[in-house]
Formats: sequence, C-alpha cells, structure tokens
Amino acid sequence: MRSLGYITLCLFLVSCFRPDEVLPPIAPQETTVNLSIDENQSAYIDLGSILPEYNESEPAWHLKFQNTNQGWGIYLNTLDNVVIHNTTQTDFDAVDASSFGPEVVWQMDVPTPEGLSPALGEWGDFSFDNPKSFKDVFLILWNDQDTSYLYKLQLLDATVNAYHLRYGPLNNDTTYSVWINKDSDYAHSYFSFKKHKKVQNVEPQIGAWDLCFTYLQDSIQTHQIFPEQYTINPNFGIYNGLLVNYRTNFLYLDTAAGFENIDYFYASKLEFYKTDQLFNTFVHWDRENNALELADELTLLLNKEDKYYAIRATSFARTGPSNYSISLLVKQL
Amino acid sequence: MAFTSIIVLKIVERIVILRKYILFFSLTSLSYLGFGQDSSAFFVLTQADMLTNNITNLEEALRIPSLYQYFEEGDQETRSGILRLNEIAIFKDGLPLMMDNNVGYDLRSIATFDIDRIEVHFSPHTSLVKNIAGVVIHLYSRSIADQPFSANAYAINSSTSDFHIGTTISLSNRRHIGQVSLNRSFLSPIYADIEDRGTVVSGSERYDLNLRYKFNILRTVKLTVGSDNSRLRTQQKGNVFLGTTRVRDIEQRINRNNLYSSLETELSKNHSVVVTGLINRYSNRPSIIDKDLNKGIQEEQQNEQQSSVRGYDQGFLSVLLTSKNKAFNYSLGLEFNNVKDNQFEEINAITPAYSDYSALGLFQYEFRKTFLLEGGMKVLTNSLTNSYFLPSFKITLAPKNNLQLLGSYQQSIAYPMFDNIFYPAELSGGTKNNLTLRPVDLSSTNVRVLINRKNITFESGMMLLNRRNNHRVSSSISAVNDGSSRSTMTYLRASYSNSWIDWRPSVILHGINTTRDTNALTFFYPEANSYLQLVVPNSKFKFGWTYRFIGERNYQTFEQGELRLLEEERLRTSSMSVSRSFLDESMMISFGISNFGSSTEMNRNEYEFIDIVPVLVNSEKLTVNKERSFFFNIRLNIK
Repeated sequence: MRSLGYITLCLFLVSCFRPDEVLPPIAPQETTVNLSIDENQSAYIDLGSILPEYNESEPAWHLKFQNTNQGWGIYLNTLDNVVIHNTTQTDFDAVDASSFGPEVVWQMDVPTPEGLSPALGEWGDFSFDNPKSFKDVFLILWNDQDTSYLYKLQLLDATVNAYHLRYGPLNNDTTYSVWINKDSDYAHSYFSFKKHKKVQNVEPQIGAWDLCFTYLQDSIQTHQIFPEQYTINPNFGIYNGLLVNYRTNFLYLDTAAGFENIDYFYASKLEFYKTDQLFNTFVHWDRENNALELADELTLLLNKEDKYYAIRATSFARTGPSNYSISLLVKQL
Repeated sequence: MAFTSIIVLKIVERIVILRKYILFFSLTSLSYLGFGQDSSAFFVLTQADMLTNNITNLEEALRIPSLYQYFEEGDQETRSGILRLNEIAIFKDGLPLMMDNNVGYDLRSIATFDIDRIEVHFSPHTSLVKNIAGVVIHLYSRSIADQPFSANAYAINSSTSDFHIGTTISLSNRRHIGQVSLNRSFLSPIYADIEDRGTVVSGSERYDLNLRYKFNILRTVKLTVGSDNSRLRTQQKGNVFLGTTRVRDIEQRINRNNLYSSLETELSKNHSVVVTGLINRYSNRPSIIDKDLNKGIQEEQQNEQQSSVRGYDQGFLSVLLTSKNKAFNYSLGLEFNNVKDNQFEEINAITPAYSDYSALGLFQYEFRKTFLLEGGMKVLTNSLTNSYFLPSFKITLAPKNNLQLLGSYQQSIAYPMFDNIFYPAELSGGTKNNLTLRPVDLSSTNVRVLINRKNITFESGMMLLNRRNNHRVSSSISAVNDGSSRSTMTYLRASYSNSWIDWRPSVILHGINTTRDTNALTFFYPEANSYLQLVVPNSKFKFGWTYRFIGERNYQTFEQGELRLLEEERLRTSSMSVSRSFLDESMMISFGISNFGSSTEMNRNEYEFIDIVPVLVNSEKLTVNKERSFFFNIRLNIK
C-alpha cells in the first residue's frame, strides 16, 4: 500500500507543466554595405535576410513619381544632378531657348522635418480624384554621362492612377507625351528621359525592404561638415544617408543601453517614431581630422509589426573619394 | 362458473395491461413533474462509457452523439448541425450549468468526476426556458451512498502524461447527508509540431472542490445545498520566434464558483413545490507572457492583459409548483435570472448586465391511457430587449403497449454573447457592438416513434429546427440580427441490453441550411455512433468500446456581406477499455486506449463565391483530438 502511495506521488509530480527549456544564445548577423555615387548609389536591406540588394537600374533615372493613391509628389535624381526651374508659363510651345538665361535659379528637392519637399512643388489641384494640373512649364536639366541636356517639361492632367506629362528639347523639334502608371506594389515609379519610359528594378517592392543606404542631398549650412559631393546648387551637398521604410517600420536611436544590453524587453518599452530619412546615421564628424568616424555607441532600433531589431555599425571605411563601406551587426530581439 | 372465470381472467388481463400503461405514463409524468425533464433521452452516456472514453471534463464529455468538436486557434468549438454551443442548453441536476455563458466558457473548467450519466435530448418538452429548442444536455450527479461512511479514491494516468487524482468522502445518517470531493487534473497540451514547443491546444491544470449537503427535514421536505469550485490554469505555448530565443506564451487563470440550493416540499397530497437557486461566478484572466529562453527573463504584457479579462456573475432562482393527479396535471412556475459582467463595471457609460424573468404554465392531460397531451406557454421578459411568448405542446400516442408515437413543438430563444451586445470593437476583435441585438428565435418540431421490446429499444424520428434573427456581422462590421437558418436531424437509434451486453448504436443524418435567407442550399452530413459495454460471462472482466463517425460537413456562412462555403473533413474516433474488479468490487483497475485510430486533425477548406463560382481562399488543418494514448485507471471504494 505504501509503494502504491509512492507511485501515486510520483505520478502526481510528473504530470505538471514542463519548465521552459534553455536555449543557447544567437549571435547577431553581420553584413557589409558598399556604396558609391558612381555605381552602387543605393543598397536595400530586408531585415529578414540582411543581404544588401543594390540598385540595378540602367540607365539612371531622372524623375521619381509617388505611387500611393493620394500621393502626387515628383522627385528629382539629385545624384545625377537633375535640377529644375519653374518658368511659370503655361504655354508649352512658347517656352524655348529664350526662356533660359543667367536669371534661372535651379531648384532641387529639399529635405524637411516632414520629409523630402519636391522642387516641382504642388504642380496641380489635388482635391479632385483626377488632379487638375496648373500646367506650369518647367525647365529641367539632366545628364547622360558627360553630356547635359536642357528640356522643358509640363505636367498634364492626371487620372486616378497615372501621371501624364509631356517634355522635349527647347527647340520644339520633338515633343514626347507619356503616361506614368502608378504601380501599387512599389512606393515609386522611376522615369528616364533617355529611354523615354519607366525604369524598372530601381527599388524593391514596398514590403521587401526595411532600410536603404544611399546618398541624400541637404543644406551644407545645416550640417556644417563637408559633403560627399557638391551639387549644382552651391548651398546643397550630397551626404550619406539612410532611408527607413516608414510604411512598415518605426525607429528609435539609442545611445544609452549599448547594443549588447538591448533586448526585447528593453525595446518594447521605448517610444518609437516614424521617419523616412536619416543623415550620417552611424557616423559622426571628427572635427580634429575633418572626417566622418564610426559612432559605435549608437544603436538603431527598428520596430516592424511585432518584431524588434537592433542594428549597430562595427566599421566604417572610405574606399574612394565618394565611396564608403559600412559593416553592420543586426540582431532580432 | 366458467363464465365467471373468464370474466375474472379478462379483468386480470386488463389490469396487467393497465399497469403497463400506468408504469409508462407514470415514468413520463414523474420526470416531467419533478424537475421538468422529458423522460426519453436520445442518448445516455453512462459511467462505463465515460471510463471507456477517459472523460474527465465537460469538453471531453461533449463528444457525444449529435455533437462534434474541433479546436480553432486554441479554442474549442462544439457544434450540432447549425447550433453553436451558446445555443445548446446544458444542465447539471436540473440547474443551468453554463447557460448565459455570454463571455465564452472553457469547458475544461467543468469537472465530470462526480457525474453519473449524461443525457442528450432533442427538443424536450420541459419547464426550462432558454436554449432548449434544439439539443439539450443533462448531467446528473452520482447519488450519495446511503451509508454512514463511504469514500472512494481514483487515479488516472495516460501515456500522454494526463493525470487525474481525486477522492470523495460521504457521510450520512439518513437525515443529514454530506459529501466532499477533491480532484486534481492535469491535461497535457497538443503540440503543433513535435520539433517545436508551440501548442495548438493548451495544457491545463485544474483543482476542484465540490461540496454537497442534503437535509431530509421531513419525509416530504428536502433541502439540498451544494457548491462546485474549480481553479483552472492553462498554458498555451508559442513557437520560438525565428532568429531569436524569444517566445510568447498565453496563460489563463480560470476560476469557477458555483453555489446552488434546492428545497422540495409537498404542499398537499396532490401538489408539490420546488424552489431552486444558483449563484455562479466565472472569471478568466489571460496573461500574455513574453519570455527570453536564453536569459530566463519573462514579462507580462499589462495593457493587453487588462482588456482581455472576461467573467460574469449569474444569479438564478426558480419556483415550480406541480400537481400529481390521475388525468390532468399542471405546472406553474417562475424563473428569475440575472447576469452581470464581473470584469467591466461600465463600458461607455453602460453597465454590461441584463436580467430576465419568466412565467410558465404547463398542463398534461391523459385520455384512456393511450393519449397524452402536454402543452403550455412560457413568457420571458428580458431587460435589454423585449418579452417573448414561447408556446410548446407535445402529443403522445400509445396504441400498443410497446409502441409510442410522439410529436412535439417547442419555441425558445438563445442570447447573444456580451461581445456582440456590450463590448466595443477594441474588446471584441473588431466587431462593433449592438445594444439592441435581440436573442435568436429557435423553434423545433420533433416527430418520433419509439418501440420497446423486452431487451430492445428502437427509436426513429426527425427534428426540424428553425433559427431566426441570426447573429451575424454586417458589412459595416457590427453585430446585427439578420437572416434565418434551418436544420433537420433524421435519427435512428437502437439499444440492446441484458445482463452481459449493453449495445447502443445510432445513426443521424443532419441537414443544415445556415443561410436560408440568401441561399436555400441544404447540406447533409451523416453521423454514426456505437457504444458497447460487455461483461465477460463468469469473470470479473468488463469490456467497453466506442466508435464515432461523422461524415464530411459542408455549410455556408454569411458574414460581413460575404457568402462563404466551408468544407470540413470527416471525423472518426474510437476508444476501448478493459476493466476488472478486485476485493469484492472494492477496487477496480481499468486499462484503455483512447482514439486508437489516431485521428487527430481534419482539413477545412473555405471558398468565396465570385460570380457564383466557389474560389478557394483558405485551407487549414484543425485539431480534433489528442493522439492515440493508453490510459490506466484505478479506483478504490471504501464502505
């Protein structure tokens, strides 16, 4: 009877919730991004796979169109020195070589706290489903390798899901009329004046990237540091920058905890925010050497749905006048 | 002399026939007049069947004829044709067990270790009011032995690490009878993938304390007081998040406290009154726990936890006056019911609570012992919506001694869930609540024929069930009353029993039309059941075998303005047990196999209609049962 009692007691004890198992630590993943203004202008990273995906567009694009339903922004490719001037005229044929002169002030997209403000500005009345263009004619300067071209550009009325524009050289020899259809799979559509059509494979699909290491233009006055490259506008320079896919990711920059100490429980209590671009994220300006140096105390935290990622740079190296390489440690929390 | 003898013989023969009729009708009327139950259950799950199927809680107990179960996202779903669990009345000893379960109920919190039998009734003619027009389940407790002292203890262990242990102690001096029962149950989880830690059905650990006290105040006055108390803890384990050492588990702490009392007294030679009361409290506190399995850190998510706590308090009181005459009998009753959310005092300045009261008048008239007419009406007034007039009638014809023809009609209602009435979208998974949501109207017509031979019983019939004012989610994602459904159950059961065999096969053909208002398609699915208990002659061995088959089920849903077709795969389950008694039946040891066909999953395909063409939109595997397991049961009785 006593043995029966012992057996019962054993059974009683074994039939309980199993304690949680202990798992070995998982080392952070490593990746390296190599950027160059001339070749690899952008590197897209999906935090699921970590491997950078480089921009494969050939030829370069000149205009970038927003694809969202209510978005009608048109941006310029600053890295290819595309700039624009609003003639304020609405007669396309009337704009010719006489419209170009020393009084022309070239504009480029300007970063603001709310995001990139396009140089084309509000080119129409967007309160309609099919926006009504103000039909201003713009002068646009773009390059094909060493040759510069001066075109005129006019946004015609758009439909719900397409932009309509016409452009051509100032001598009115040829006028091109194109429709740029919005593609909801991608954040932007890209257009090349050289090919007269959309350029594919510039950026991955909307949900397929989280970070994009690239170059961004900004005011030299604001940064007070040497840019990677100067632009046609002497007030603006090109800096290395980081785009965050704000549609799916929230961000937090941490300098307090240290990469090794950051875990899910720490990250889940932080207040993440939304932003789309950061300048010189993992580097800081060394005033003594007048150069960018690694900011190894900084950890970039990203919150994507219910996942958290911590990213830290482990090395930063110049590989040429406008080239750099940055190595990252990425851990999912 | 010879003539006189013939006359006497005729009289004796008449008396014998009359006695048989009287016996039949007295059985019907006694149960009817007692707690208002219809005498003829379609199916009775006995203690021996519970042992064969290793049934330890209500969730396991509801895998019985006419019902089927599966698990969806960790939650158990019990259905019968078009009926969901909150439209099926479940009573324990005549008191509502989980009626008005407006916040969902974990059926594992209801223990069955003290249950003697479980009966399944189709549309019974009864004094009960809500959820009774379709399938009604009655659980009956084991009677307390009429001895100064008795006790029993049991332990059940299975190969899946389930373990149940308990004891019951009873004391009686015939006037005062008391019983205390203690139980601990551990049910292991069902894992999604043997390689990972994630569970599809959570493991659970339950402690029970049940108390019963009977006081025979006078020969005609009896008081019963009891309390059932359970504490259930469940643990739903999550898979390790890829690339991390982190998991998210969900734990639930469910408390169930039930206090009931019943006073029976004879008012006169022909009248008796029964007053019953019940206070039930149920609360479910889920915790979402994030764990790092490398660092050994864990934290509860406080915000989500607070909003997912659920629970309600219920008060129930009924008074039933019944008469016991030869030809004409009646019952008059009142029923009061109050339900209040015990987690949210107010939601948007509205108290999530309701009450209802019912008045009922039923009569029963016998004519020449071959015709029995029962009928009556119930009027229920609900504080949130309206009053409902619920008529019912039943006709029984007994043209021959062993033949009965029965026809009945019953109306009832079933309340919506608190999710749909009170909880705003952020508490109810996105569906907007509707304070004016009415109960669904249920009505059923049941026609059957019953043949009783010496050891054999046959019953066949058909129940037609209509459900109106369905609870649906509209295209604007709010709860609405909309549309109607209809189902039929064509059933045939038989039973053969003698001193060594008890075999109860049954077949049901379910016809279900869930979207009668939009699409009059009726889908049929068959069900076959066989329950066998065998005593091996000249030995102390008993053998039990259960087999259930439920055919492929198709049905449609109409939610958020979309018609969908669902196809669910057939289910099969089978269990068996062997028992032997020892020490003059003081000890019984049983060994069994549950689900020996190891049918654990079923496929469900979901189709959306695009231009009347069904297009597959989702295909998933649903867990229906634990894997095959062996169990061992030892029971000791001390008298």
